[in-house]
Formats: sequence, structure tokens, C-alpha cells
Amino acid sequence: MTAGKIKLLAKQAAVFAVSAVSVWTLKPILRGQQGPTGGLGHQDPVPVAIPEDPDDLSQLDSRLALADELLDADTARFRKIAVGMLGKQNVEARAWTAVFTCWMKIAPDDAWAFATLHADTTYNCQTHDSYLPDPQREQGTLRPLAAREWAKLDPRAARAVLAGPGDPAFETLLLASLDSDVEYGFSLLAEQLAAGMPPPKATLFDNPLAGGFTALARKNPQLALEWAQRLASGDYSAPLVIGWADHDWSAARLWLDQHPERAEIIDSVARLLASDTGLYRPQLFDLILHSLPPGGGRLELVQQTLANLADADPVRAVEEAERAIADPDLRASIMARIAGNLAHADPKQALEILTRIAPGTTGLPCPDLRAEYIIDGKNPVLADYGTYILSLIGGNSGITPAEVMSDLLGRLIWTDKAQTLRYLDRFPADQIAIAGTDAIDTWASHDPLEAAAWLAGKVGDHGDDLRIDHWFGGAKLTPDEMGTLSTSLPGGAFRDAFTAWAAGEFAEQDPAWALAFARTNEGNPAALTEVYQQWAATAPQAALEALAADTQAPPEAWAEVVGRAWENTPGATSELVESMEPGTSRDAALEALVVGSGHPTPPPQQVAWACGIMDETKRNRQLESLLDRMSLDLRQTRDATIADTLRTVIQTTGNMSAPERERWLTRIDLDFPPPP
Amino acid sequence: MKSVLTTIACVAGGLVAGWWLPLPSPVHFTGSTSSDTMHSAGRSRLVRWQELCSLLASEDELANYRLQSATTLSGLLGSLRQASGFGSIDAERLVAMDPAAAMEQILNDPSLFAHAGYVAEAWARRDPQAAIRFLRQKTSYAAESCLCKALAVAYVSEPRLVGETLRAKGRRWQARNLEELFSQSSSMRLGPPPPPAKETDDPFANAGDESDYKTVRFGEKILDCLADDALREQARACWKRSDADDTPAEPKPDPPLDLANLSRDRQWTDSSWDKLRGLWKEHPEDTLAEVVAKGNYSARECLMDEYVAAFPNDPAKWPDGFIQLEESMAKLEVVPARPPSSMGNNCVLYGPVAADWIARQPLALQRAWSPTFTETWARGKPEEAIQWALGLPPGANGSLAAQRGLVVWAHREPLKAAGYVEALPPGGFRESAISNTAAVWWSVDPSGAKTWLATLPESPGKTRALERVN
Repeated sequence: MTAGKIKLLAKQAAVFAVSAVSVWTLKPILRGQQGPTGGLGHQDPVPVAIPEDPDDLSQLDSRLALADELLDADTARFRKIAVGMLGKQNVEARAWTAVFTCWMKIAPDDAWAFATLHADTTYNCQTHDSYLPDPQREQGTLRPLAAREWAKLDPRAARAVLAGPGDPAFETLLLASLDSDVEYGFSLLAEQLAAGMPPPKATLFDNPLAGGFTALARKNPQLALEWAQRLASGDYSAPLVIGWADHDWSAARLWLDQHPERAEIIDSVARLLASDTGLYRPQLFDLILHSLPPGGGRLELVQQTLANLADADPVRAVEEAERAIADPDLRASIMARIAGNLAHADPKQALEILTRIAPGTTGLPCPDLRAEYIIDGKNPVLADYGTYILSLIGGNSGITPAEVMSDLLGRLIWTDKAQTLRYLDRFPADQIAIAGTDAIDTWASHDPLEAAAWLAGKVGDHGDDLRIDHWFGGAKLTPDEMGTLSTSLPGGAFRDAFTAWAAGEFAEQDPAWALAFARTNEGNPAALTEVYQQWAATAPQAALEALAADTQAPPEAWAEVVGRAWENTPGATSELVESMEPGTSRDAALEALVVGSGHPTPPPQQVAWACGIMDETKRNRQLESLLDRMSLDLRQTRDATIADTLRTVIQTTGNMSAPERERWLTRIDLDFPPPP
Repeated sequence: MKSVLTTIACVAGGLVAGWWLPLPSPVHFTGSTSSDTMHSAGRSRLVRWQELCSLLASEDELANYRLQSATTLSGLLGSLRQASGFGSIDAERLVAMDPAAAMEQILNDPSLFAHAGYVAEAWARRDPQAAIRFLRQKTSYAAESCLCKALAVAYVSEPRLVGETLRAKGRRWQARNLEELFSQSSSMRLGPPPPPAKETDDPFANAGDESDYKTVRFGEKILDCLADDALREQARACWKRSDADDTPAEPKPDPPLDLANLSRDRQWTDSSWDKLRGLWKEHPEDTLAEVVAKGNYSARECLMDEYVAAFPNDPAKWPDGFIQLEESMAKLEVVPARPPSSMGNNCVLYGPVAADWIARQPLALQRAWSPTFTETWARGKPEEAIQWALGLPPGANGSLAAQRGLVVWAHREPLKAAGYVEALPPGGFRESAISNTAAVWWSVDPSGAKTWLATLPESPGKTRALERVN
């Protein structure tokens, strides 16, 4: 074979190959399958209409079609698309960014010429964009946006077309360059400062140079240090330490330990790590854990950091929690939070994380955070929760291991009851009512006898948090079924609670049966109270009469019935209560009268009822509350007759000791001052 | 000529060969791709396209797009977990593919179970017998819930089958699900089937008008399938309730606004409150004068709340706000029970300027506002806030306010708060401070709190603290 023939054959083979590749490449298009849309995750893509110009970019289809268009566009096509967008209202920043991202790759000069020609075109800047200087964030213009996209590819070329630091696009270019070529970005910063212009504006939550400092410190910590000293007015130490940690952690640590503002820098490092998962490094997390002072701030930052890390990589976050956090309660709280965030998307993984927590670990404790204080040197009392503390309690709810487990098992039981019951069995008696509540709700609705028997054996004497009405209400048991079930249960907290609920359920329908049933369980006072409460909801007078005749009724029953009865027959109710023998039942009834009567009962009447309470603590609580309320009405506090009546009531009350009487008379003097 | 023909033959051969070459496998948006089947240029193009899509659309939008464009059972079920927009149309698509397989997967996957109802209903519309037969064989609670959905839909076309199923399930099952089933009603088309649908974009174009349909409520033909009279009675009660819900309520006569007899206790059921607020917004001066002249305490308090709600959040505007509050307090003769608040912060006031104003107000206002005010102030300047509270006159809740400030401080900075507490003079305030600091500290750092308590000498406050943290 001669060289010429070989050459010819090679030529023919090349033609063959080019033809084959061409038709192979075009095959999907020729078959009517457009481009790579299958990449969104479906095998048989739904064709999307590619608009001649992007007509309505609020529609997802139009935006996906635009993405498809931009990939293969030549410069003429780019121009056509961009001109089409110029005529539209409310085109968002993301659409222009997509256009310039692609256009700059193939014809940056052309793209820039277009942006310059239409420099005043504005777009709707809906998303926060840290590259853009403040004035442009609300309503952006094309030139800085194009400069930004160019700077990501070739910052020097982009710089060459700008006049200098006075150009409105210069700062955008500078900030974008910090991402693509950090050292060049800082040289642009030097240029801006040399021109007498300030560095990019930074705020507490938005520091556009921070990422640049981190990137520079990763490459050249000394240069980053010099820049940090040069820009002394800004706080760049934390991003510097974060970048330096990647380059040489020992050197960074030494520098930090000798810094006079070490504590503040570590606090800033913690805040940055908590807000940006990409910055997470184990050595930095350890530094935060061991350096931040204890308290809610540290707790929140530590939890937030790992929770954010878990959004990106839950397995790593759990491993980090297990590696770094020695306190088992804090570790359990954090793992519960991670599992809770995964509960919807991946319940199996969430359950797996929870099972890594030792059974019985409760997470951080939740004590009574109400403020304790002392009035007039008496015994301390706990006030209502403050608003801040309430926000903390609210913010932490649902993230204990038991609460997250409840959510997960509440889902699992619908599809796999056996597995759910195995999980439930792992929990100790004092946690079962919380960890199992959602699952028990479903279980008891479907299989009440089985669930009740299991619970009665499981909870023993732990009666807290049992939610019988919630769990068993859906089972629609008949009175007979409830009676049989109740008597079949072993004694304990569950049977007491179940009987009380069952009795209350039928109080409206058949109060006599309900009272008799409540008494079958060794006179369970909660059951009797429940019956009277439910009965009073629909027939308050009848309930009150029955209660008055019931010598064994618990005092709590009076508290439930009197308020309801007073709404219907205030005179008869208060007469009955006033005629009762002194004791705990009368105290409870009087308290209910004071709390329930309200408007339009004359305040001295309410004070007289409060004074009739024998128990000193309860009496003082009601008087305190009444006088607090009365003192807000200045018409009353300026009425000397009311003040005199109140003084008489206090002076004639037989229950009070002299110091107590003195205390309330002083209080009346303070709140009802004589006219000036 | 020969070389031209040869070239043409090569081109044609190439085209044919290229056409029959296998295409690359489809690649998923997330997850790894198979490098040996993917042309590198194509992959790079795909990656770039995905990047652009992520730029141009939110994650939610892309997830729902994946859902809507999925054409296989596994694709559709796979995208269900991420998508938020699953609805009855997607369920119809799912059961058009393979209803039994779809239901089997959904019933066994707790993350998909939330969508089970739609799928059961769609299947029962398409093939009630198959749907009910399948679901009756299953024993999970999820299957029971789906069976209920399917029965409710199937009743219109297959009442006998539904009745048989109910009867077979027994009393307990019936009692449990009676409310859900017997509260349902469906629309049934009357007369012959409609003519073939015309092609149109309007989804209701071929639906006919209202007179073509009648409402069928669940269970009228199968009441005897229920286990006993009690259940039948409950079923009738369900119908009654549904009928009552469907009947528009008679408009109640609007009661006249009686300013002298408004009751705060009935505020949630009394339209008088809304009326009074509306009047005040329209004619503030006239309404104020009317309430001052005729209003009882509840009416005056209601209007006072409106003035408090109008208090500005911006500290620069507080002086004007204080003047307005003082004027309205003087006219209405009411002390506001709560300080001005905003979302997420139950007191907008803090700092010495507000503190001075509060200290000049009636004792009742100091008492009512000081705890919340001190708490808010203590978030920024705990020591200043606590000091101010301790200087309040007797009867102004100063002690409680100071303890509230301390609680906030102890939560943020327990070490500093503990130092402050240790320096307090002996007495009741110090003892409560020990108890509060330890309790709050314990909630964020249990071992630190216990260590601190161990360093303190025995005292009533320490004893109470130990009770609170154990």
C-alpha cells in the first residue's frame, strides 16, 4: 500500500467517523428529544418549548428552556436572547446572570459591549447578592452584573475595560475577583484604597471581604495578616484564622492565643462556622467547644454549626458530635436535632441516628425556668414565665431524643407496627409517654385493648404526661368496653388515668353511671373530678347540686364546677359557696368564684370572697391578682368610696394575721392614693 | 468522480453507522454518573446545564418539575420524597402505571405514606374492585386508612362491594372509621355517559353543568351493614352534621355596640370588639370621646390596647409615642396592662430613656411593665437593667423584675451572672438569685451549674437550687 493510498483511506475513514459522530450527536434532536433534559432525573423527558425569546421567565418551563438555549448559543443568539429580555418587565437577576455566565465564556467582549450599551437597564434583584454594592442590591443594572460574571472567568481582562476605582462596576469586579483569583482581588483592593476610596462596606452580618481573607490566608497567611492590619477598621481576624487553619493550624493557633482579643475572635469564628457549612473544620469546632464560655450563646452556636453541617452531610455531623462532644446530654440534644431535621426526608436514617444515643439519655435538662422571687420577706414564689424564657423553651421543644423519637415512631407505626413496638420497648417507663405518644395515639385507636394492657404494664407508677383522651379517644369504646378494660388492668398510674378519662367520657350522657364508675376504682379523686368537670360543661346547675350533696367529692371538683355554674346562675352559686363549711372545698370554690366571676361583679365583692379563703398562700395569691387588676382602672383607684370599702373588708376579715392585714392595707394605700 | 463517490459513500455509511450507535444512558440530576457511557463533552454540557438550572430555579421548583415529568413508577416515587406539590393528578398518573406496585411501595415506606390517601382514592376511581381487594388483604394501619379512602370513593359506583367490606370488617373497625366514612359525600353524574370529550384547554369544558350531577352521601344504601343500632344512629348523626355544615348559617342580627356593658371575658365571641376597633380606626377622636363618656372599663381598656399597639418600634420616635400614651391614659383613665410589643419580642422598650419614663408613671404601670421591660433590657445590658429594677419603689414588682433580668443574663452568660450573684449582700433577693441562676445555668450547662453550686456555702437559696436541678 502506497503512502498516497494510506492517506486517502485515512481521509475516507475520517469522513466516515465525522459523519457517524455527527449523526450520533444529533440523534436525540432528530428523534425529537431535546438536549440533556433527561438529566433532571427522568428517562423520557417531557419536551419543553424553547421560546424564540424568553417570554415569561416567571414560568419554570421558560427558564429551563432558557438554560438549554444558552448552552449552545452563539454570540448572535446571545444577543437576540438578551435583546428579547430587555423588553420584558421584572426580569430577575438570576436570568441575566445565567445569560452573562454563558456569554462571557465564548465572547466576553461582545457580552461586555452589550452590557455597556444597555448600562442603565435595570433588573429585579429579588435575592440578596453580596457581590453587589449596597445601592445596587435593590435594583441592579447590567454593567456590574456583567463585570462580575467576567471577573469569575478572567478578572484581569475585565479590569482592563474599566476606567478605574471610580467606575460603578469596579467594586463588583473586585469582590468577584476575590473568588476567582484572590491575590489579584486584593491588588484591586489596593488600587481602590490608593485612589482614596474606602474598602467595601461591611456590616455585622454581611462582610463581603471575609471570604477573600479566608481564601488569601489559605494561600498566603502573612499577606492576609498584613491586609488585616492595613484594614484595621474592619474585623477580619476571624476569616483570617479560618483560612490560616487550613494552611498551618499550629501557627494560626499560636497567633490567636497571643492575640489580646482572642475571646472576641473565637466568638466571631464560631458565628461564621455556624452560618457557613463550607468553613467547617474539626480543629476549629474543637476550638469553639473548648474556648467559648458556657451559656446559651455557646450552646446555640454549637448546635447550629452541627445542624447546618447535617443538612449537607448528616453522617459526618453525627460522627463529629460523637467525636468532639464529651457531655452526653449535649451530644444527645444535638443528635436529636439532626435526626429531627431528617425525620421527613429520611426517617430510617433519623431512627438510626437516634438509636446511637444511649437509651434513657434525656438530652439537656429542662428545669423550671420561672423566676423565683420574694414578696414582703415571705416564702419565695415562682412567677409566670418571662417572654424571653418562653421563647427559649418554645425554641427548644421538639428536639429532645424522646420527642423526635415520638415523631418518627408516629410515622413508622402506620407501615410497620412490629418494628415500632420494638423501638417503644427500649424506652424506660418515665419516658414512654413522651417518646411513644404519637405511635400510641395510632396504636390505641386501632387496638385499644392491646395498647392499654401494654401501657399499664409499662408505665408502672409514672403517671406524668399520660394523654389518655388523646390516645384512646379515637378508639370509640362503648361504656361496657371501657368498664371491662378498666377492671382488667393492673393497678397503677395508667389504670387511674384511664378510669378518670373513661368516667369523664360518659359524664354528659349518663352522669350517674359515670360517678358510679369513677368510684369503682378505689374512689379515684381524679376520676370524680373529671366526671364533675365534664358534667358541668353541659349541665352546670345539675352538676353543682350533685356536688353539694356529695360528701366524698374532692375539692378539685368544686374548682371545676363553680366557675361554670356562676356563668348561668351567679346569685345562687355564690350563695351556695358562701354557705359552705370552711375547708379545702370551700377554698377551692371561692377561688373559682374570684377567678371566674370577673365583670360585672363589683371588685369589693370579689375581694371579700378572696378574703374568705382560709389557706394563706391561696388567699394572698388571689388578693394580689385582684388588686393588680383593679389598680389598672384609674377611675376605681380615684374613687375614695371603693378604697374605703376595700379597707373595711380587709379590716373585718377574720382569717388574717395582723402583719398580713397591714400588708394589704398598705397596698390599698399605695394603689388608691388620696386625691392631691 | 471516483473519489467524490467514495466520499459520498463514506458519509452515507458514517451516517447510518452513527444512527445505529447506542445513545448514552440517561443521567440523573443528582448522584453519580457512569463515566464509561457518557461522552465527556456531553457530561460537561450536562453539568453546565444543571448548574444553570440551579441558578434559574429553586430546589422546590426543580423537585416538582422532576415529579411532573417522571414517566416511570420508580421515577415518580423517587421524586415524591423531595417534591412538595404531589396531588391528585400525580396520583392518577401513578395508578395509571401500576397501582398495586405503587401502593405496595407506599404502604411500606413511612416517608411516602403521607401521599397514600391520594393514591388510594385515584385507584378506587379507576378500578374500585381491584383497589378494595388489594387493600383488604393488607393488615397495616396504613392499609386501613387507605381502605377507608377507597371505600368512600367506591361507594358511588360499587355500593354493594363497599357494604360487604364494611360488614366483613366488624364492629370495632366500623366504630373507628364511621365518622370519616359517613361524613363523606360524592358527586355522581346522572343520565347517559357524556359524549366524547372535545379537545380544549379548559379542564371544565366537558364537565357539563351542575344539573347533570347529584350529590351522593356515603352509606345510605348500606346502613344495614353496620353492626348494631348504636352505630346506625351515629351514622345518621354524621349525615345530620354534614347537612348542617352544608347549610349556610342564618346571618345573626348585628347587636348594637353597648359601650357601657362590654365584657372582656367574652371577647372571642363578641363582634363588639371588632366593631369598636373598626370605629376607632375610622374616627379616632370621636370614638375616643364616646368611650370616655360612656364606656365601661372593658371598653376603655380595649381602646387603650389600640394606643399601645400603635406605639412606634423605632427608639427615635419613642418620645412622641410616650406623649401619645400619656394623653390617652389621661383621657381613658386606664393603665395599659402590657408594654408595647412586636412580633417575637414582647416588649419593644429598653434602655434608660424608657426606664425614666416608666419610673414617672403610676405605680400600677410600673408594676405591670417592669418585669417584661427589664427582661428585654437585660438581653443587651443586664447589669444596668437589674440595677434599675432594684431601684423601683415598693409595690412596683422591682424584685421580680430584677430576677427576670438575672434569668436572662444567667442564660446568656452564666459565669458573669454567677459572679454578680456572689457579690450580692445577704438576704432574700440573693437567695432567690442563687436559685434562679443555678436553674437556668443547669439548662445550658448542667455540670457547670452543679460545680458552681458546690462552691457556695449552705443557704436556703442553694437548697432550693439543688431541688430545682435534681
